[in-house]
Amino acid sequence: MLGLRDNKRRKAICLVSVLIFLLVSVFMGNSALAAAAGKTYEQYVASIPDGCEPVPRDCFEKAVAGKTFAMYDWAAWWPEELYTDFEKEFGIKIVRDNYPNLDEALAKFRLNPKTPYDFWLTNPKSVWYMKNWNILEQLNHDWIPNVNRYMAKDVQNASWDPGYKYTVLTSLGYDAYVLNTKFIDRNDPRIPSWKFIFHGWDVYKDKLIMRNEMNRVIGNTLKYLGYSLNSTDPKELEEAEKVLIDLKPHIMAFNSWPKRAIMAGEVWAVQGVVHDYLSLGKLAGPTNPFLPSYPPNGCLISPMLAVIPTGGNNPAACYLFLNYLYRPHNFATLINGIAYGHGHTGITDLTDEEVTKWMTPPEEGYREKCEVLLPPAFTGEGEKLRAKIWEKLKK
Amino acid sequence: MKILNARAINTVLMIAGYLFIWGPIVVLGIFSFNSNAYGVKWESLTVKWYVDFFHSPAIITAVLRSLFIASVTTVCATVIGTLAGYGLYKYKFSGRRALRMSVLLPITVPYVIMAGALLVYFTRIVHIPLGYPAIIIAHISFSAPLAVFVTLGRMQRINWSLEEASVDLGADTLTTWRKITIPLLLPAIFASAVLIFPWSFNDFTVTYFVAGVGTTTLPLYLYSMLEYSLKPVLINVISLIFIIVPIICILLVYLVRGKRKHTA
Amino acid sequence: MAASRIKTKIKANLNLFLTVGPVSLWILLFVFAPVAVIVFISFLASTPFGDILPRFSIENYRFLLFGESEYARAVLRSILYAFVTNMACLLIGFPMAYWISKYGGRFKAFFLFLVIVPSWSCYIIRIYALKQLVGYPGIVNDFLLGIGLISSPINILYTPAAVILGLIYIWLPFMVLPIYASLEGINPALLEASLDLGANPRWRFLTITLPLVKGGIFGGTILTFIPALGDWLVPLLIGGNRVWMAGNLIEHFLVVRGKIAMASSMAVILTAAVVLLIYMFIKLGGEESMERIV
Repeated sequence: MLGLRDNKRRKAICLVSVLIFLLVSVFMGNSALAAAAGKTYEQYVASIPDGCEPVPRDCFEKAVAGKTFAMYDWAAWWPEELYTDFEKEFGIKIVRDNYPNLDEALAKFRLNPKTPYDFWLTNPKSVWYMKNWNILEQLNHDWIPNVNRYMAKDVQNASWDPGYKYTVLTSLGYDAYVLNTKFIDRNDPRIPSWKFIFHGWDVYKDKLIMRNEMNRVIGNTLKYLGYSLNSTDPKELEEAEKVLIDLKPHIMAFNSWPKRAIMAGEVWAVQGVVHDYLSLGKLAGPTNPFLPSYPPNGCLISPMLAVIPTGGNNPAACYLFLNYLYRPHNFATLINGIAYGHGHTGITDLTDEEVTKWMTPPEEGYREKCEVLLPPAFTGEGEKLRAKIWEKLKK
Repeated sequence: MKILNARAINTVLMIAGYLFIWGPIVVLGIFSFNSNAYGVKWESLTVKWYVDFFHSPAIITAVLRSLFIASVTTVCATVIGTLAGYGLYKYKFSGRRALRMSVLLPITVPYVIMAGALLVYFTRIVHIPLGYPAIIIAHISFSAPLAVFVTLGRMQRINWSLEEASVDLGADTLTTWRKITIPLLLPAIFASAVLIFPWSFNDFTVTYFVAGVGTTTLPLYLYSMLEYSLKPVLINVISLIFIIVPIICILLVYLVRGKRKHTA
Repeated sequence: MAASRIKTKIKANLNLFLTVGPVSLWILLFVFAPVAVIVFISFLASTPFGDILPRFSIENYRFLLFGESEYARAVLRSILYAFVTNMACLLIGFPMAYWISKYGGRFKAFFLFLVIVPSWSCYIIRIYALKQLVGYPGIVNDFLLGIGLISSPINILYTPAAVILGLIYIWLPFMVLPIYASLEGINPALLEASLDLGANPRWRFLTITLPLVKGGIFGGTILTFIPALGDWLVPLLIGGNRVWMAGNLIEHFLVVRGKIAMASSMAVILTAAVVLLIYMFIKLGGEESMERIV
């Protein structure tokens, strides 16, 4: 009898202590670590680096009063210093959530328009939907002086948001393809054209992975054929379908981020955003074996746009963050970290040579040949036709 | 002779089964000490990934959140489910069969749609705050049925004369429960908890849709960084930790229980 | 007399309410209601952009069942894969459960625990682990190549075989548990009696053990077949997304294309198929197997 009670007591104590430990750690873990004293507005203005301007006083005070800043972006992509330095400088705690891909993030907003994020990093397609649902905050340009100053003029009037009323461009990705030159001869005459992907399976031996997004794959196929990415012409789409169906037996898988696969040598050619593979290549050995391609026909461009959903609780903090991000020093940190293209006019001296080489297309005016995904492709007839093709591909 | 053969075959099959289940995990664990961040070529022994892991607050916070949610879910779902299993078995009431069938419902509806429906439901119809409350409620809805089934199964094998004797001897309901029923059901309760905890801990789809701001759990974080991050080997680290820790816990439980003989 | 009768009745009702009440309330509020939402939405029309119009329409069902959609094929494929997975889990899981129950001795619980513990690590991690093992380059391939059993690597990754392997791997523990519990529940006196009456072990297995384990097999089937049917992560991660199961299609329609109403209809159809299968299964196994699920 005594033994039983002893055991029970021991068990109970164990259980209770474990539970207490768990709860304590959770709450300790969640409590703010940005205990750095926030600055006053005067201190902030005084400590601004050269070439940058501060946000107006009301923006600053609102942001600091809000105490937290809810961000929704990719996990483990932007350099961590950007977030920690922001927290340190302003004393605002950043709460970051990540999405596995932008479609799922959009689904959350679709089902719950009041999703309370202050900052969302997204693409033009989502912006178009959010505008339709009226849940995007219109930007107050007075609150982002650095952006006004440094964002390139052609970006300010880009096709996805003329006059940058809702979005601030953070990076631009070229969605073409990357080859592992350890296995593939970089002097194949078809490189860097799209022809290599769509007909070069004898060289890459069916070890090709394409992105798992129907608009991108079909769009790039249209680019290969010389048509517009956003075409809704049934004849052109039929051609694209034929090309893709012919290619299907040589495609290993549809996977949007096959980093592990290409590092392990499982695949030799990856259709995707070329910029992701610079840092990867650095890990792969003494010389970077990856080769980005910029097909002469052009490819899909995917801009990463920062937007402010109306459900957020502290939009002022987002303005503060964007202004902080567009300081040349910080923006250079970003671009050097992710090696993407951009529209910032003030960091040409601050970007790494290697990064510049990787992220810049070989010819002038290449960007004009590339296209962004626009509504005709993902709505109405265009969407229906593409969905049919995609279903046939996945049969 | 025949018996020996059958036993040998059975043993071989059993070992093969365990190898199948544990093989990939063991490999993963071994490679968590590999200095090569990718691939399967062994480079050199290192523990730097473990250092990395304990230095990344994002992962640790995600793990703690998952643990918190799973613990609360397990406790609540086990209690609710065990009670319901007991009631379903013991009492005859109209709608008994209906209840038994409907307990299966959460498992049959595809998770994706259920998750989306719960999001709509929580935000527009019932107004439950997204984040911990919503996640925990959703998890309980999905895991209580497990507890019900486990309990139902156990109920059939229990000698209920003990309970009847207690009542006959004049004990009130609470005492009977405390001294007789719960100890009798303890294996079922334990089994339910062991099934529900990992289910809740590993759930991705439902958690993703009803999560609020700042409630990224481990599966959410993993899925987001799995193919995208530069250090997939951290996954190996996580897997090893989550194998070792439960085993240690169970060994501890065995120690605490002492040398008491285990009656299934 | 009447007073005490009423008192017991109230007490009985109270007991019922306290035990079964919470779960019923929970299911009503948080399962039935959302499912009702799904069914409701599935009967609504939608704009070309996928947003819902408040108008009744069976267009979704018509398109899915009789139109040119791939959904029916995906559902049938999912049922096939789930069935194969189920059978394989049964073939692998039954010997394991049997061994643990019969020869496990003092360490039965520990052996059982060893079966469950891998499923404690994340689902995604386990699929990833499997990928590392069977992919090329991968451990198994390297090993087989090394000992010369095969001359060129077997690449099963990103094929239907890989999907089924992944499904089996994930759901195997859920077959072992119910069968083990069912085996444990067999009264050893029965087994001894049959031996005393002169039956040989094989006969005893076939006529006594097997029928009594039916409930466990049924429970294991439910816990493996249904999840395998709706699974969409395995085809995504290990199937290379080349082959779609029903869950992938639902996710595609809901998340990628934003067609909420269509996705709801798909879910309703899938659920109806599952319920139908369960119903047929119960009829086959008899009502009592439903009682003895675990």
